[in-house]
Amino acid sequence: MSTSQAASAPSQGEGHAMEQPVFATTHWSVVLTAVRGDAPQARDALEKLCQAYWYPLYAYVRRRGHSPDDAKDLTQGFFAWLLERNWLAAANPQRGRFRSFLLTSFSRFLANEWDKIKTQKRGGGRILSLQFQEAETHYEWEVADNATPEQSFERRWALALLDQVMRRLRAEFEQDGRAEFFEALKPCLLGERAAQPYAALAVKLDMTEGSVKVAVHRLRRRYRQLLRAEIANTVQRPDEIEDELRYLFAVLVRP
Amino acid sequence: MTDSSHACPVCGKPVTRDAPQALCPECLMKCGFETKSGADFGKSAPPPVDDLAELFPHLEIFGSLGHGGMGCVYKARQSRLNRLVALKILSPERQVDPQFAARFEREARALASLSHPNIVAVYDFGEVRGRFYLLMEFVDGLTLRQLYRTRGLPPADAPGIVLEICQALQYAHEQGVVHRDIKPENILLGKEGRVKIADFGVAKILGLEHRDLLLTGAKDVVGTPHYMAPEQIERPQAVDSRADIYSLGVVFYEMLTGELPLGKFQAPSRKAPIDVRLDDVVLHALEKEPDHRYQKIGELKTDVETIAATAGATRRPLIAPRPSAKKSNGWRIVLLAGGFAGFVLLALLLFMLPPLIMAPRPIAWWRADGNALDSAGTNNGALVNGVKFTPGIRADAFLFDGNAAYVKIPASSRLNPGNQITIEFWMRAVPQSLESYEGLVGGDFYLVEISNGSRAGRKGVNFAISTDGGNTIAQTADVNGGGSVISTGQWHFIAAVYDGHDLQLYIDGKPSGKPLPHSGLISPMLSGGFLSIGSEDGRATRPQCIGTRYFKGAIDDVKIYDLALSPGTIVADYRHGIGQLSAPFSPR
Repeated sequence: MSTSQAASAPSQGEGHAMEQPVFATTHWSVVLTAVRGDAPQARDALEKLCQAYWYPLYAYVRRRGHSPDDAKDLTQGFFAWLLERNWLAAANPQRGRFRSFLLTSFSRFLANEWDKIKTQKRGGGRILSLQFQEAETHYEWEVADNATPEQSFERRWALALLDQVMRRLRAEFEQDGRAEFFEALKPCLLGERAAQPYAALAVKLDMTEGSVKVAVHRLRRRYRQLLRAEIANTVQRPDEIEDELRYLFAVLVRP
Repeated sequence: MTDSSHACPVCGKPVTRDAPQALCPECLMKCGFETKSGADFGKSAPPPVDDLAELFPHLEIFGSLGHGGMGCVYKARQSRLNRLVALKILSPERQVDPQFAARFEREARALASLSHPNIVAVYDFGEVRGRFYLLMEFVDGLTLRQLYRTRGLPPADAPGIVLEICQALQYAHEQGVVHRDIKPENILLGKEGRVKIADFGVAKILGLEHRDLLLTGAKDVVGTPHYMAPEQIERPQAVDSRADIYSLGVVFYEMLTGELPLGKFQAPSRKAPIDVRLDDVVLHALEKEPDHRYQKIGELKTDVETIAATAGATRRPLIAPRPSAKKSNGWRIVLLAGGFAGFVLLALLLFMLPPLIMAPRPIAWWRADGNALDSAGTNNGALVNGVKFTPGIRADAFLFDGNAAYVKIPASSRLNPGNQITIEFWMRAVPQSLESYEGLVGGDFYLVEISNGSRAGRKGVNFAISTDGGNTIAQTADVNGGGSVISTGQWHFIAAVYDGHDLQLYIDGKPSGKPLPHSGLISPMLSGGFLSIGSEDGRATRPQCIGTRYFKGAIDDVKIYDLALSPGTIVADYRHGIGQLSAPFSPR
C-alpha cells in the first residue's frame, strides 16, 4: 500500500513563494520599539494609526451612553492626551495588538484622566482632524443592535480596517485610470457566487472570459496582500497577522 | 443593524450602509484567507518516526504513509501481535477546540465499536503527550483515487464496488455512525479484492463540519467539497446519513463516467456505455434535497443489486497493483531461464501484460494539426489567434510570432487532472525569444514558462503552480542556468510533472534541476479554467498588459495527463506526422 490510509488530501503550508511585499516595519511595531531617540518617527506612526482607527472609539463611547458632543470631546481629548504626552508610557510591548492597546488605554483614560483634563483649558493639545459629523451619521446607522460597547468597538474596528484596505485597493486602480474596472470586479472579492458570471463580466468589460478570471485572481491576491499589510500595521509581530485576521473574521460573523 | 440596502449575493445577509464599499464585510474578510489546502501540518511538521517510536514503545514504526489535513498516517507493526497496523496521528492544529478531547473520546469509541469487513477497523485510540491517535487496520492496496490514476477503472466494475460501500454504510448507519467524508481517497481497495472504507466519522472528530472551519479554508481539508452533500455545506449541523448517500452518488457517477457531476451534468449513460437503469440510481442519490434522495442506503443497494442481477453483470476481480516495468522485465528473464514451464508462464504473462503496462493516456492532446481533440475525441475547439500552421516543419506545429499569436483552449474543456499532472510538449524557440518573459503552456493553476531571468529567479524554462486565488505556491526556478539547456533554434521536449509532492521539470527526457517539494492539493486546476498555449497564462488579451508575453517560436504535440509520469514513462516520441527530430537524443 502506498498512501491508501493517508489522510485525504496532502497538505501544504501557505504560499511560501507568495509575491507579497515584506513589511519590515509596521506602524505598531515602530511605536512599540520606540526609544526616546526615534520618538518622532514613532509618534508619526501612532498618529497615522489613530487617524485610521478613531471611529471605533467614538462608537464605543457613544455606546457607553455619552452624547454625540461628549463622545466627540472624549475621543478628541483621548488622542490629544495620548499623542502629546503619554503614548510612550502607555505603549509597551506587553500591550499586544494596537486594537487592544487602544481600547484599554481609552477605558483607562475615561476612568482616570478625563475628569482631570476636562477641567483644564482645552486646546493646548495636539488635535487630530476627525470628521465627527460623518461619525454620528455612521453611528446612527448601526445603533439598533444590542451589542456591548466592546463588541461595537471590535466590529467598528474590523470595518475600519476593511475600509482602509478597500480604499487603498481602489486608489491603486484609480491611479492607473481603471476605477470603473475596479468597480465592476470588486464584487468578485466576496466569492465565486458574488459577481456576475465571468462571461457576463467579460462582455461588459470587453475582455475574454479568461482575462476576466485572471484579473479576478490578481485582484484577490492584491486584496489579500493589502489586507495583511494593514493588519501588520496593527500587530506587533508578523506571526500574529493570521491570528488577528481570524479574530476579526470571528468578530464580524458574531451574531 | 438596520437600514440594509441590499442582501449579500454570497451569504444572503443584509449588507449595512456602513459596509466598506457596499460589500458584505463578513465575506470580504473571508476572502482574506488564503485558499490553503489543509495546512495542518504546515506549521507543525508531521512528527518524525523517531519521536513516535518513543511515544509508542509497543509499535515498530516503519514510516509515513502520507499526511494531509486530518493528520499523518504511519505504517507500523504491533510487535507482540506481529500485526501490521496504520497509526494515524491527528493534526495538532485541529485540537485547539476545547471540546476536542471529549469529542475525540466519544467518536473514537463509536468507531472502535464498528466491526465490519468493509470498514477499516479501529483497534485502539488515545492520547500520548498531547498527540491524539487512532490505531487502525492496515490495508495493503490502493485508494479508489489511486486506482483511477494508475490504470483507470472500467465502468463495469463500479456497481460491485458501490455494493460493498453500501454494505459498510448500511452497517455503520444502523450503528448511528455517519461517515461524512465519503470520497475516492477514503475508499480502499485491498489487494485481495475487498473494498474498505477508511476514516469513518473522522471529519466529526475533527469538528470539520463546523461552520467556522469551513469558512476558514478548511473545505479543502475536509476534502474536495464536490463530494459533500449540499446540506453539509449549508447546514452542517443538520447532517444525517443521507449526506453519505449523496457522496456515494458522486463517487458512483465518477466511477461510471470519469467525471464529477458538476453543474448541469449529463446522465451517466450518456457519457459511458453502461446500463441505462443505473442513471436513475445515480441521479436519485444525487438529489440536492435530502428528502428527495434515497432515504436509506439499503434502498440504493437493492436497486443496484437488482440491476446487476438482471443484467447478468459479473464483477471483474480487482487487479493487484501494477508491477513496475523493471520488475516485469526481471520476471521475464527469470522465466526464460526456467525452460518450458517458464515459456508457458511467459506466454501467459505476456498475454496478461498489455493491459497492465499500457502506455499512459493523456486526458488532452493538442497535436497542432488543426484537430484539437481530447482523449474522448471531443474537439476542444482551440481558438487560434494569429497562430500559423507550418506544414513541413515537424508536420504541423503551432508557430507563434511573439506578437499576438497564441492558442486559447476554452474553459468549457473542463479538464480536471486532480492533484497530479504531467504536461508534455515539444518546443523550439527562435533566437530572440529568450529576450522576454513568456508563457509556453499554461492555465489558471499552472504554467510552464520560458524566461530570460528578467523576473527574479525565473530563468530558462520553469514550472509553476498556483492556488485558486492565483498565488504562485511553488515554482521551479533557474533550472537550466538561463538557457544553457534550452538552445534556441532547436527542438526540445519538455515534460512538467507534479506528483502531489514534488514539481519536476524534464528537458529532453532528463530531469532539469532538483525536484521542488510542494505537497499540496492543487485541484481543480483545469476544471472550468482555461488553458493557453504560447502566451503567459492567457493574459495575452489583457489590455493593460505591459511588454511581450507571447512566445516566439513553435510548440507542438501538447499532452496533458492526470497523473505524474515517471522518468521511465516520459517518452520523447512524436507519434504523429512525420516526426523528424532536429536533435536526436535518448530519453531516459
